[in-house]
Amino acid sequence: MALSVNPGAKSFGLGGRIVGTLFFSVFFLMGLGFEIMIARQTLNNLATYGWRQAEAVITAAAVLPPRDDESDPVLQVRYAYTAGGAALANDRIEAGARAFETSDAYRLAEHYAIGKCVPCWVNPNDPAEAVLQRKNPATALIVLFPLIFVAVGVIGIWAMWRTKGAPNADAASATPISSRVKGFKSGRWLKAVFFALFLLIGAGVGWAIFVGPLLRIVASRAWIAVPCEVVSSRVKTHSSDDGSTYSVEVVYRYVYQGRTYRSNRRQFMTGSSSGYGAKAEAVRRLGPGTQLTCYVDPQEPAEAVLNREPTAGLWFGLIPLVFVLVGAGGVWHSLRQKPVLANGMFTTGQTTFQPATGLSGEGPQALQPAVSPKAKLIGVLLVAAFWNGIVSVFLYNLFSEARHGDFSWFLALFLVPFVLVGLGLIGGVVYQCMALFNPSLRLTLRSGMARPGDTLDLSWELSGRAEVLRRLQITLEGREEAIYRRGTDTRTDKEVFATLQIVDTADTIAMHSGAAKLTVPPGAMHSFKAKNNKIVWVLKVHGDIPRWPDIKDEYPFTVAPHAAKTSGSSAS
Amino acid sequence: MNNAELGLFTADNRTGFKPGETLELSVLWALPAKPASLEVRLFWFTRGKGTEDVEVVANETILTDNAAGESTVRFTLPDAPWSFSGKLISLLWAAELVAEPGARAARCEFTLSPTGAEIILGQ
Repeated sequence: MALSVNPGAKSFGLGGRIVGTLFFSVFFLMGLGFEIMIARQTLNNLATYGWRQAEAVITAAAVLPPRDDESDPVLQVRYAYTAGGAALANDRIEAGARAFETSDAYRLAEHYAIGKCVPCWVNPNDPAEAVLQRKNPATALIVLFPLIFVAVGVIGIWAMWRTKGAPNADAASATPISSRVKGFKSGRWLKAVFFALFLLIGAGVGWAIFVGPLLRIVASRAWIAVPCEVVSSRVKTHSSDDGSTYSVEVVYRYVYQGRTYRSNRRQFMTGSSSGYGAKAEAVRRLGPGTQLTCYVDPQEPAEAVLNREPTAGLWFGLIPLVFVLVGAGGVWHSLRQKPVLANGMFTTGQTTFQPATGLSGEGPQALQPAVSPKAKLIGVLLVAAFWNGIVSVFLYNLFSEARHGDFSWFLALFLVPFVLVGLGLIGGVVYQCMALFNPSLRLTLRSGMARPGDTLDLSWELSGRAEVLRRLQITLEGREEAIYRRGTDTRTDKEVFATLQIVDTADTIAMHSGAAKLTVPPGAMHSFKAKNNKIVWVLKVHGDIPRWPDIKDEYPFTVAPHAAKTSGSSAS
Repeated sequence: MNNAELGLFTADNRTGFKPGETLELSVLWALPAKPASLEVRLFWFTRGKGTEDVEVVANETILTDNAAGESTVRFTLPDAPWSFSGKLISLLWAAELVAEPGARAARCEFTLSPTGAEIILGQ
């Protein structure tokens, strides 16, 4: 069994602890505040699922225009119902909402038109309390979101004040080091739950802002094109601590099967962005009385949309995919960790040696590079595509607003470092593409397993454009690799403890193919691979190519410990 | 004893062992009450810059009805990993006597390598 703990973490002084505690308290208190607020709303909503259903008749319905540029229209509904033999009236639409301000007001107003019979839900303990609609119970999942802040706060404060064990204490320490293994399983599940939160939130947000709109776009291909007239239009302001963003709001009226409807849905993708000018220009073009075409759902004629095409903003909806990938990857990685062997190389009791790569068994062994040129290219290509894909959305937005004379210098300056990184990544892609045309090297060890003190026959052979190579160096390197955490970063430090030059030649024929002896130093440490600490042996190849990416590859191989006997135990 | 209640000693207080050798441990305990469990664990762990790794490779439960007593435990040592020390990482072997409840423990550290001495990286 194995476990990772972090005894090497720095201890904080009293001042640092107090500052850290204050910092994490902000996370904790903010998260707790949101959690209480959301939990209360969620409980109020869930409580309505225990209420009795009754029939209500709508007696009044109206949509009040937005109070100001930042508000949505307000839906007001009054309905009559009977409960416990008494005739009652109410105007509450949802739990906790009397004045129902929503961008969906026009569509809902059609649903709650005067004279319509609709279901309502009545509190059996207080029949005067009723609602017309209940939020989907799945929205209760939102209570998980503030828990992330609460968890960060609690873990941060705990980390500030926890008393460290004494991992470096002498042998008389009463703290059982071996007991730390027991925490492994719960730690694994804790990590899985943490990443599952990422996954759930990413999936939920992704569904709301990408999958949902996309499904509606697809469904609306069957909707009916109907002439419509703009009733009103405005630029809606969305204010936040980071400044204001804007969106275009249009209310239009259309007639379908002899009945007049009103809607304010422009497109399925909602949202706002910076740049007032472009929105104001759109509003100017959509003035009252403008004749347009809208698309109406024949099954639900109150459902209509002006633009049923995918818009550029839809691709923002892919951003939560990062959370989904991180969450899914984290859950998978957490659960696949097996609390068995730390290194996967030595089995308890029988100490079987199983080299992961490189040498195994007897006979010639062709070594494989740690990362192939194709894998390097694919890696940098994916990173570049992801990075530049996101940056390009902002650039598109910047330049599309510039076309309407509304160039945002602040956004442009803000994007400069991101664009430079993107260009660097594109340069990396070009570099790796060029490296694909490098001559390829085949390294072969002609002997069996490598153990400290062994001498092996190493041979190499170049194929491809071997003539471009100016110098070839092959080095045996042994190094330590230590993985540790600093704050939220995971870092790896490497320290080379052995370097042995095997080949260093500029001779064209010798570079093309050759052989050399490789001696693993006697008394050297064998390969070792635990979760956070490693001893790594590699053959490093450096091929110098003028005015072209050099060959820089590592070929890991395993140095095995000397043969072992079977271990066991007994007590008497 | 390594602390007031528990003791764990290698035969002849030896600290260097070779793979495949037998590690013989003398176990002594004097507890306020009969322990719920008394166990000797053979394990290695890392120290240094990297986050600590720990692996228990074998354990032996001592069955006793007494609050105090002594016993001998033997482990045949595996061939790896060897004890080493570098600029970033050290790997140490130890045996630990753990009594529950209370997680009282005594530890006895030793080196395991083909020479019986710790391997110093870079030498």
